[in-house]
Amino acid sequence: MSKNMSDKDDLAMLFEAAKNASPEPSSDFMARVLDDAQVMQPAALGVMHTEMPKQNAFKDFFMGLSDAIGGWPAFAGLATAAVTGLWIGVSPPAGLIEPFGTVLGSDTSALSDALEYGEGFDFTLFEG
Amino acid sequence: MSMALDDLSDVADDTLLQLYANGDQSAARALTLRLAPRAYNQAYRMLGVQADAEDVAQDAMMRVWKIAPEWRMGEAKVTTWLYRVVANLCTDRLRKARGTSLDAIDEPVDPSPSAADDMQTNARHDALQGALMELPARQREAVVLRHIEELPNPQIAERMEISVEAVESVTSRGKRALTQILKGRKSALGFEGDAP
Repeated sequence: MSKNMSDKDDLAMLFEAAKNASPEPSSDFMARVLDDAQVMQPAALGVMHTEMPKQNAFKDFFMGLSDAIGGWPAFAGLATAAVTGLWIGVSPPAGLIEPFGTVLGSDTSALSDALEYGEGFDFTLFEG
Repeated sequence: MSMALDDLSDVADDTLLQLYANGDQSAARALTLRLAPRAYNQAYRMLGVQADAEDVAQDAMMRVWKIAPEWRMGEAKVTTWLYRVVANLCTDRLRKARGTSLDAIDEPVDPSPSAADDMQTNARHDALQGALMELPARQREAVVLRHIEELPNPQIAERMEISVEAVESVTSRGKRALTQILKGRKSALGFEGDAP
């Protein structure tokens, strides 16, 4: 090596030597790091995968039902039908009773017997 | 050691982290092969001692495994994040070492004794490492990144969380200091009167 080589060139040569002599990690070190990775990986995932279905079971049921019947508009229709049915049961329109009367005869008491409630029964009896 | 090749070499680091978090074991291997040597090299350059560098790199990799499930895709580069983790761990270790013994960290140990024909190269490498260890940590970091890792200044600025101008200044001061330190060691480095 020349005595006249500048300090700058010396330094550049040292940097070059350092690049070529990059320290290699030992195989033991690499094995330890991989062990850590494998030990930590299943522990975190095991908990998540077993608990998540339990936490979401109720929600999942309604989501499944919603998907099956066509989403929230279907729920609205279902609710309307339920309320209408309840109202018809509580206060049936006369036109609805008539066909039963035709089938069972002119005596509407037969309808009462068929529906198993007595004479003078009125749903208002339940109110207060 | 025998380890499967990094067959996920085309996959981005953050995608690998996501795969790892989802239980993909090949992602664990790929990340280890890709990131652990990088962390170790950086730690070795900063600490100059193999055992310390391995401890720091293993600790940094533990943090990679821990953060994997929470990693937000596209927000930060995994390598930049890891670099900062290693740098901080090294700084902590150097600070503690200085508290106990000023000389403890200044004498690098050759991790792998070289063959006879590589002795001069290794002597130069060791001498440089020894001189680097005499620099303040920030100067050492900047010089290593610029002249050994050969990163461009903007990337060094990002890693060190300083401006590009500051990188230039710190690198320049580091090189000047390094030149002064090495001036007295030319013969030991084979730069004077050595055999061909």
